[in-house]
Formats: sequence, C-alpha cells, structure tokens
Amino acid sequence: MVEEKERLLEQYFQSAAIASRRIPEPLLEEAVAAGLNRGKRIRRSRAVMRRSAVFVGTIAAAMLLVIGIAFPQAYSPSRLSGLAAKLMDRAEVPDYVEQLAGERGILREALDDGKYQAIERTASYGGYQVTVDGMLTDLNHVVLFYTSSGAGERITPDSPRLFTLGYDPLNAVQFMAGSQQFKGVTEEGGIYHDMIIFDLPLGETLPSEFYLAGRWRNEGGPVPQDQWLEVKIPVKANRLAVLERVIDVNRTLDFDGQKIKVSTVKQDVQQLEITLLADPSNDKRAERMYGLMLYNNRKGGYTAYNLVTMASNGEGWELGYFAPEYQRGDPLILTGKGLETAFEGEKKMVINTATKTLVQAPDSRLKLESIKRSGSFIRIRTAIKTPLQGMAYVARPKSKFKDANGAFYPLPQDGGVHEAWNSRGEWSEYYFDIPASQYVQPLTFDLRDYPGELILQDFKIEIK
Amino acid sequence: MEQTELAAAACRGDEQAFHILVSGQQRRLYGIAYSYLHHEQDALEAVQEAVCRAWIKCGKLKDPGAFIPWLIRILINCCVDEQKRKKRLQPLPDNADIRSNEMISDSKIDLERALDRMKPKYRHVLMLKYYEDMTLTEIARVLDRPEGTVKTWLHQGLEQLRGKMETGGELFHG
Repeated sequence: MVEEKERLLEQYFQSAAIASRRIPEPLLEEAVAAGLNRGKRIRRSRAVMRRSAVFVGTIAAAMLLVIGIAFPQAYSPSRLSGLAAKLMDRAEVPDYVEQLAGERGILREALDDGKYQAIERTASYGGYQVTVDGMLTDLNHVVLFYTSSGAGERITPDSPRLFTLGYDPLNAVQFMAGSQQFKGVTEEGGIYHDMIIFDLPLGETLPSEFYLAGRWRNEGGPVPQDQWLEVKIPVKANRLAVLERVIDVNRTLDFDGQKIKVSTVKQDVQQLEITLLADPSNDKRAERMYGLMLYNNRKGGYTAYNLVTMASNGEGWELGYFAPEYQRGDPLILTGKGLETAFEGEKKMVINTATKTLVQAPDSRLKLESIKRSGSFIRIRTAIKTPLQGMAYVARPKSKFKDANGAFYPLPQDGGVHEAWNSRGEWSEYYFDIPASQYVQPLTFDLRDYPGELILQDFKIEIK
Repeated sequence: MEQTELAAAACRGDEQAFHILVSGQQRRLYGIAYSYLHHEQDALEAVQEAVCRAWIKCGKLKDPGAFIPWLIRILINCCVDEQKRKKRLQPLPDNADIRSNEMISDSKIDLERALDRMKPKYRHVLMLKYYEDMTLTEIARVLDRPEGTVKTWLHQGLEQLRGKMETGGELFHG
C-alpha cells in the first residue's frame, strides 16, 4: 500500500515538475530581482534606522551633558530620556513591520510619516505568547502588528475581537481578503509575525485604551489547541495616521434606461472600495455589473485588482478590491461590459426524475440535459442558453426540495462535491445531486439562483 | 567561483554572488513553490518573498555551505504562510464560486485533500522526497532536523496519507 502511495505522490508532483519546466525564464528572473530589490530596500531602511538611532542617541547624550553642565538645577534625566525616546521612535519599527507594509500604499505612507505607535505589550498563558509590537490607527481603522509563539508551533488568532476596558465588545470588523492579503513572516521555532486589521463602523471610533482578545490557535497540531489571550492597548491620540481617503467619481452609466451611478472610490488600509448606486427611477432591479474590472493605470500600465468583498443593500453595491499598494494619485480605470438585471419571474423548476422530464421551468432558456444514477445519488444536469460564451448561468436549487406530497428532502451535505458548473459553447451546464430514493413525483426545486437579463454595453471610466 | 564560495560571499553581503547563487536555483525554487501552491502567480510571489527574506537574513547564516537548504527552508515557510492566507479566504457570493468551478479528477483532489490535512512537517518531507528526489541526508539539512527524525517523519507521512485518503469520503465529480 505504501508503494502505491509513493507512486501516486510521484504522479501528483509531476504537475509541479511540468510547471517548473514551462515557466518562462523572464518571469523567474523578474521574481528573483524583485525579491532581491525588496530585501535590499528593507536592509537599507534597517541600516538607516540603526544609524539614526545611534545619531539621535549621541545627540541626546550630548544634550544631556550640555544641559547638565549649563543648567544643573534643570537636570532631569527622565525628561531628557523621554525626548530621546521620542526622537528615536522611528527606530522602534521592527523589520517585519517594514516588510508587511510593502513599498507603496497607505500603510507605507503612514510608516514613512512616523505614525507607527510602539505598543510592546505581551500576554501569555500555557506556553502561548502574543506580543502586540505596534499599531497604526486613525481611530476608524486599526492595524495591529504582532509576534506570536506557542510551544514551538505557530499560533494565530481565531476570530479576534476588540473590547473596551469595561469588556464591552467594539463593533470593529476584522478585515479578511483573499490569498494576497497578508504577508506574515515565519521564523524558526514557531515565531510568527503578522498583522490584524479592524475596521470600525461609520460613526464609531476607537477608545483611548482597548483590549485585543481572542482565541490563539495552534493550527499545526493534529488537534488544534487554543488559549484565550488578551492584550491591553493604549492609543496615542497625537500619532494618528491617515488610513482612509475618498475619491468622488459621480459618473452615471445608462444601460437601456437603467441608470447606475459610480459614486465614490474609498481607499482604506488594504482595499479600494467602489460604491455603485442604482437610480431609484429604474424599472428593473439591477443584480450586478457584468465584466467589471478595476485597473491601476500608473505609468500607463494596466494592473488589475482582485475583487475580494462585495456588499449589496438593494440600492447599490460596495465592491472591495484588494489594493494594498495603491498610492494616492495613481490613476484608476474602471471598465465593464454591461448590467445584469434580476430575474423577475417565479424562481422554481419542477422535474419528474422517474420520467426524466422537465415539467416546469422559470422560462424557456432552461433545458433538462440528463438525469442519471451516480452511486447513491441521482445526478440532475441542466443547461441554460447564454448570450455570451463562458457565462455561468445556473438554475441552482435551494438546500431543500419537495415531492408531490409536499414532503421536504435535503440536498446532500456529506462534504463531497455534488454540484458543478461548466461552459459548453453558448450553453451553460450545471449539475446537482439528490439522494437516490423513490420519490412521489414530480419534485419541486425552489431556486436560489436564476439569471436575469444581460444588457451588454461596454464602458470605461477614468478616475483621478 | 564554487557554490560554497559564492554562498560565503553572499553571506558577507556580496549582492552579485547572492544573485548568481539564487538565479541558479530559480527554476527549482519555483517548482517547489508550485508543488505547494499550484498557482503560477502565487508560486512566483513565494519565490520573490523567499529571495527577499534570504537577502535580509543571509548575513546571519553561520554555515555558507548550507545556503541552498536554508534557502529552500525559507521558501517552504513562505509557501506555508501563503497556504494559510488562502485558508482565510472569505468566499465571494455563491455565483462567483460557480464561475470558478472546474471539473476536476477524483484522484488528484483526493490526494491534495489528504496532503492538505496532513501536519506540515510530513508534507515537507514527502514533497522533498517525491518531488525534489532528495536523500534523507539532504532533507535533514533543509529541515534542519536529525536524519533519524526525517526518516520517521517520512514513514509516518506515508502512513498518514494512507489513513487520510481512506477516510476521505466518497466524492463525485463530473
């Protein structure tokens, strides 16, 4: 059996071998050069910090000496060391913070402006230790830089939260994005550095002191162990960073009479958030913008940003693009291909799995491709004609369906893959499984997804 | 210059030596990163990150002869960090998930899931053995652990893989 696994492993890693043979040399060279350049920059900044620390320390010592000689009655070591500490505050920025802040963007700007607040508060219990090394905040956004370790294994926070000193939870929401979000740094012995970002809701601000609290979890072990740790964090109100900016756009797009206003672009710690508003006079409900892309047009290039968050409130959408390196003044370009409106009919399909017929569909675009037994499941395959090739148009059922007697049955929830979408020319195919059983026919599936109308119209907005 | 001489020069801060040394390994580094991340851009970023960290820390490397294993160890840490970030991924609304769906084969996803559930140290050993074709001695140098420990991990990793693949549950794909 072990030999079989060895063979499978060798096969499995073949994809990496093929990928490493195919990757063009210039891409590899670029990656190495970019890594080296970033490393050089960090080393340079570290050296400058050290020199500054020595220089400022020397100046402070000299001042101490001069004042001590000239004004012995005014000699106050604590006051002077405070001054030196203040002057030397930039030197307190750890290397990993410099690394996490990157070369460009609002975090880099805040660090370069000297807005880093050293915290250096530690909480520990049962071999787990967390130190909040520092923070950047504007009272609406909080970036906490931490170092953690837990008995030789890396520990990270599981749903951390912020509390007031009276243990009332703050409504701060942790920012989570896609794979490109954080650049945590792992060291030998399970020491880990990373940052946690919180956004407070509109109108709420950070108090002058608060707790970061949560379960810190060892993810490496077979059974994750966790510990509750809390760190008390003071805020220096005289060292607030700029962590949010709003760019007014105010451009209205017209899609066959359906109007959508691109209202603002908000930059915060890690993302650019575009607010789109549907005009109240629209007679169709706008579902989503089709083919929307946001580019950074710096130096005439087109760097696309990844969409990582999406919120809709019926009047419009807020789309968050992961853009930690966006810098004030970089021109942006927003492009799109159209507007999808919501389906207004009855989102329901009725299927007789015994006779393999589609009894009722939301509209004529839906067809039943096949019904087949697949192990202990029945696989129902449908297809919808799409206006453009490659579009994911699916008739996706809700989690329960009912038979002709009104009895409800759940869709499979065993952790397996029981649905998939595939594009075939102008048809969008989709299958889902139901448990194989004798049902009183026909079966009714209420749909959570069914496509509406697509109004195709290319647009491009330049945002400066 | 020999690799060890280059490494010694790199550790003394010779940028050109460091560049020559790392460039000579760039395709290998990419392959290792790809074996963890299965994504071209992510793998390139992991290489970039590893090179950055290596340049920052190479002055502290005590044994220049161990430069390449040390570099690979840094890269593996970068890949583990990247995988962890991916697990934090906040899913987009359902439609977006469907758009990215693809038909995938049973055996690949089965093995991938089994490796994903495995403790990182076992996965590292399996990757270095079956992808990099390293000897136990070489793996021990990369992971900075005794050879006996690595041998045990390899055996346990294969055993775990068997257990995890057998308890993975029935999967269906198109």
